Amino acid sequence: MQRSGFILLACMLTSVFADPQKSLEIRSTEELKTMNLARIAEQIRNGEIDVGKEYSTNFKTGRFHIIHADKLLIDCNNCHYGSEYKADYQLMSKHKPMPDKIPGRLQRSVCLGCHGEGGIATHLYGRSATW
Amino acid sequence: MPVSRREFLKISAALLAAAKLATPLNVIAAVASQAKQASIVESSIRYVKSTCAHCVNFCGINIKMENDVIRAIYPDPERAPFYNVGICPKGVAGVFNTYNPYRIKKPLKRTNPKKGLDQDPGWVEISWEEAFDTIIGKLQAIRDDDPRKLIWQHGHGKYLIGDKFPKAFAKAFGTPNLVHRTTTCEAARHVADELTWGYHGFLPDIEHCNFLLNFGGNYFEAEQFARWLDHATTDAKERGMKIVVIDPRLSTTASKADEWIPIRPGKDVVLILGLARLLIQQNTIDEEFLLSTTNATALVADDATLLKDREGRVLVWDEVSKSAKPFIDGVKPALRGSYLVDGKTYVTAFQDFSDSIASITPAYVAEVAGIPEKKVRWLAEELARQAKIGATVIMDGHKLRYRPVAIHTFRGLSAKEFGVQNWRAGLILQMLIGNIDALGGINLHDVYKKPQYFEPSKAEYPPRSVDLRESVFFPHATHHVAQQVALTVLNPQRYGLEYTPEMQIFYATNRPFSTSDTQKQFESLKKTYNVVIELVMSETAQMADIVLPDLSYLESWHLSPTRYTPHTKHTAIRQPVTNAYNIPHDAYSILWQLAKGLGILDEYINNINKQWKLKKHPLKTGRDYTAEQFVEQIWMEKSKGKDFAYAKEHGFIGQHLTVEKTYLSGVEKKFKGPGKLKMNFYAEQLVHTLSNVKQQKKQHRLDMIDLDRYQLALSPLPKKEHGFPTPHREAKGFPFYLITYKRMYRNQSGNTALNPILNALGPDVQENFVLINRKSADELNIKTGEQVIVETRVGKVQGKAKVVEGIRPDTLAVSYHYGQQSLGFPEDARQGIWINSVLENYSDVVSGMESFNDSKCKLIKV
Amino acid sequence: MTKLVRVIDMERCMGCRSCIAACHMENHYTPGSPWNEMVEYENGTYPDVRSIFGTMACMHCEDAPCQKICDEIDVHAISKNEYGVVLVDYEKCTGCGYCAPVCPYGVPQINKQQPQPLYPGKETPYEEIPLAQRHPLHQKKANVMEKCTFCWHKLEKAIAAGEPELIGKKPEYTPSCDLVCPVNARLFGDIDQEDSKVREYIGKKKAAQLKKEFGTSPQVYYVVRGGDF
Repeated sequence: MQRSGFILLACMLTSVFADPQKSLEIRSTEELKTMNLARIAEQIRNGEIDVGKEYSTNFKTGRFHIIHADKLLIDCNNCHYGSEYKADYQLMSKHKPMPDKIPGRLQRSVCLGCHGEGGIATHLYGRSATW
Repeated sequence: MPVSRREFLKISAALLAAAKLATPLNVIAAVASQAKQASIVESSIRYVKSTCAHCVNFCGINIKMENDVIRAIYPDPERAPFYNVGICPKGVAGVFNTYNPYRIKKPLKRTNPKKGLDQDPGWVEISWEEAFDTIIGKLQAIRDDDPRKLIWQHGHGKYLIGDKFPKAFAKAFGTPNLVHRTTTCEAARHVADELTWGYHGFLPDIEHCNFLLNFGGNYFEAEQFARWLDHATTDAKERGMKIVVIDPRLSTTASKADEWIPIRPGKDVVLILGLARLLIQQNTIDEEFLLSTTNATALVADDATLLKDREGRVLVWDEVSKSAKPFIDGVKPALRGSYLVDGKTYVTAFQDFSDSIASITPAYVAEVAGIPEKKVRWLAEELARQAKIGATVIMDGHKLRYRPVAIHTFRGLSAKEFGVQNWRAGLILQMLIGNIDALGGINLHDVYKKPQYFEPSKAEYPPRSVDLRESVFFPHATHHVAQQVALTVLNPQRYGLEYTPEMQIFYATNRPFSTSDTQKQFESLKKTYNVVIELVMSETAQMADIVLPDLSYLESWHLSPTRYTPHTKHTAIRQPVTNAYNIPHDAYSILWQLAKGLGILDEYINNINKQWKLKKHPLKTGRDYTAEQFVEQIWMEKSKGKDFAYAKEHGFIGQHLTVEKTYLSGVEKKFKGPGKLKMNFYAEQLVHTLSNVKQQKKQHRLDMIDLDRYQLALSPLPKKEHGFPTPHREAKGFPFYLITYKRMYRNQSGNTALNPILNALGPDVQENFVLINRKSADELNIKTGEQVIVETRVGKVQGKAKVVEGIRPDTLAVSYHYGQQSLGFPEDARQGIWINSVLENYSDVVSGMESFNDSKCKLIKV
Repeated sequence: MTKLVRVIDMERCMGCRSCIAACHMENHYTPGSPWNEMVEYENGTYPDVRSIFGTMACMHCEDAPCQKICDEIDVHAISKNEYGVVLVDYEKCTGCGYCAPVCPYGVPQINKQQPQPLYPGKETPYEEIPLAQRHPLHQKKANVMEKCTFCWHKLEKAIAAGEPELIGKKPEYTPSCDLVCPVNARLFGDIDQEDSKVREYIGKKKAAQLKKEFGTSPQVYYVVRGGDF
């Protein structure tokens, strides 16, 4: 449930922040929270919040987790769920062992929630996104 | 000033780096122009056309040499119209068949007299001179005493230098004991072919076939003709051909098929006979074919023999004269019915067959073979519908029968205790639909090439050779009996052998490892003086007294065997591109040296000329020939004088066959119409063979001959009882059927276990596993990766389980080329399960074929 | 324009892994960092089940997320050239690993070591070719990202020889994985060339890109049944 909640949240953000020029109407506490998340993301992007110079995806000490977990306070379960990839998941290297403490592997579609076109985060995926 | 490749690369790297790789076109242009000016010293690259010999497909390859090092192996595009369009991973990784530091590089002598898989042989390197002196000394003593005491065994060696050299050597030496390995492959299929149409080998005419019924053949993984069948069937499928695969396991071939029918292991013959019954009952059979080309019309007596006239001609019931007559002009044979001739009742062979399968109803098939009744009915309807019985097509001016349905199999129907009868059933089913040598049907190879196959076996006793071929024990074993050698060596008196074998030479075979019930196989190696010619320290080599290194297929000359297709054939060579460890000999020159040392070189040469049928370009006695000189000689002979330079440049010469050759020179020519011999719908020779067996048993008091078993196996027609091999009947308390299969990434001789490319093809290739159906695994609480024990009446093996949907719940499958035991292999090459070690050996007494797929087992979670 | 694409026909693929062996031979894999992989799984329940086979390597996306994030963090080790080939500059790569999680196909291999001897502790003539004599893309370093290059070292030869139109046609100018397939399940060529086979194949057999929802516009097309492999 956390997963769908997170994606819902991400989709909502996508619609709210699709046009940065557009003035925002804040209607609920929930939206206020997402507003904060977006604001922090923006602060990270423009360098106001320093998330460290070391470009690393290492667990805990890595910049990747500093951004997502420490600064944005996104719960681990929002991204990591399931103990293994589904058999038909089209992914190279999915058989590689993962560090013990990671609660679950990361299905790349999770990233789409924030990193798709119009998302609050860096637009890694997008230009011709179909959904 | 020329720049080295290294400097060139530096420049290009720097330029690429400077441009951040974002504008490579400019960069490349700059590099290219610099390169032009600087006349770069590049690696020297050349390509050599040759033929792969990693397995029995013999694909055309194009070897890329960089500075005289093998850099890569690609398929030869020129070979595509004749055979292979690509190559398999073994072929691609074939470089490490040659560049393998674990290869045997010098002759080795054993110092530890104790032999065993757990015994370090204490190898010491010896010179080639010492090795030859020792071996020749032993051989000379044996030859002076009784040359039959020498056994030569080859497996893949047959394809490396060809079996004609060993055969010539054995002849010159005087031993009948030369044994190949076909009983571990598909010998029963060959023997069934021979009994039925006088030679062996067939292929589905894929180009025109619309419905391929495949019993366990797995051309998407590995088997003979696979590298043609794989692309040919894939193309045909796109054209609309339907493929049905009958296999207890979801093989790759089954996965790509339109229908997968998971049959209970061993029960194929019951399904086939059930289908035959439905076809006959619905009268969807090709009567015209049965009448004109087969002996289905022959009259069968009470004692199962055929009614013949004084000249020995088989009689049929003539509907015109209402009498028994030979099938000559003017005679209209009856297909069905029973007839009174001279006061005795005879039935036609067809009637006999129809009556004998009357009880094999779809419900019975469903119960025995574990296939839903409606699927059985559907299959029969589909066969009848797709066969287009009666249709003809004009092609290149020839009128051809058009029956676009084919049945294909390899070990699926043959690696069984009643292997011959299983494939006989397959052939009979195809005679019923008349697809034999028809357009789109199955295409037979060299029909009636050997008339002696239509004769009963003499069931010799005492046996002529140590493998007991064509003896009372295996009367129609025309393809040797590989696994029997060990059993005879352990107890020659038991089988009436008149001598005790003393020495064995193994050439490129890991036979004891690859046959079933392997403990006995290894035990036998303690009894003889063994010489092994091998690439790597296989399990067989570990049991040797002397090991001789061999050259790899990329290091040696050979007129390569090739595979034909229904529409092409070709002659090819193999040529060396390197000699990685400077080994001075291969099996070819080893045999030459042995013959020379024994003083039998001229005899050897004469026999080589006979074996290779060299007429225009025979070898001369009194001189030596290098392998290259020999290959040139035989190329000239086989290519009818084509320049050898052409062979070196192209590697092969191919030919497309005419319509006449493909469709009209087989059964149409040999068997069709009045006055000709007929294809054996009814294999009468087996009836007479049985009489001979009975006679020999009585005369020589052969208690070990179990006549019931012979009576069943030597039946002139297949029966439902052939679906019940001994372990199925006797192994009570062993609930699972156990079958074996082959994976793409290994073969059994051992060198593939040492191939780092093959072992890195994925996380699942370095070991095998016990395939178990998810439902059965749940019941036993077994999960993928957990350790399990497979226990048969022979023994136990342990390994990892793999839980899948793609296997019958009552069946386990383990691939058979893992679990290497050799102490000469590093640990990572010794992983997995050696399933052969626990398989029961109930060889087919007709053909000697090993019963690899008949065992039953228990599965225990560790 | 030249846009190089690969078509993989999953209806034809039989899962033999020849293409993986060929890639390994051609590109000197670092242990644990393959450039080409077989994704194999069962679909369905007994007895209505089939195994599905599909090989995956770099998709050389038009909007490559790996490149984006690499640029975003100011490393600029990943680039996409005019032929549509995504390449890594080992000299610039810091091994940060950002590219790996952002790739929807799991392609980037963050290696932990240099290529190792194929037989630990032993040498083969094959490995005696000095590192410096290898193409820069094969001069691997430890702790960098590596991945399929569409065999750029072969393609650039075609370009240098002034015959880029022969890419995918001449074996020397064709990625090795696409050369060895026993069932002709792979094609490589320029989709912008009017008479190109890849173009025709994509159209006729309705080949599609995987995971289109990510909008990365991959340059590898798959013929799949039921929209998935």
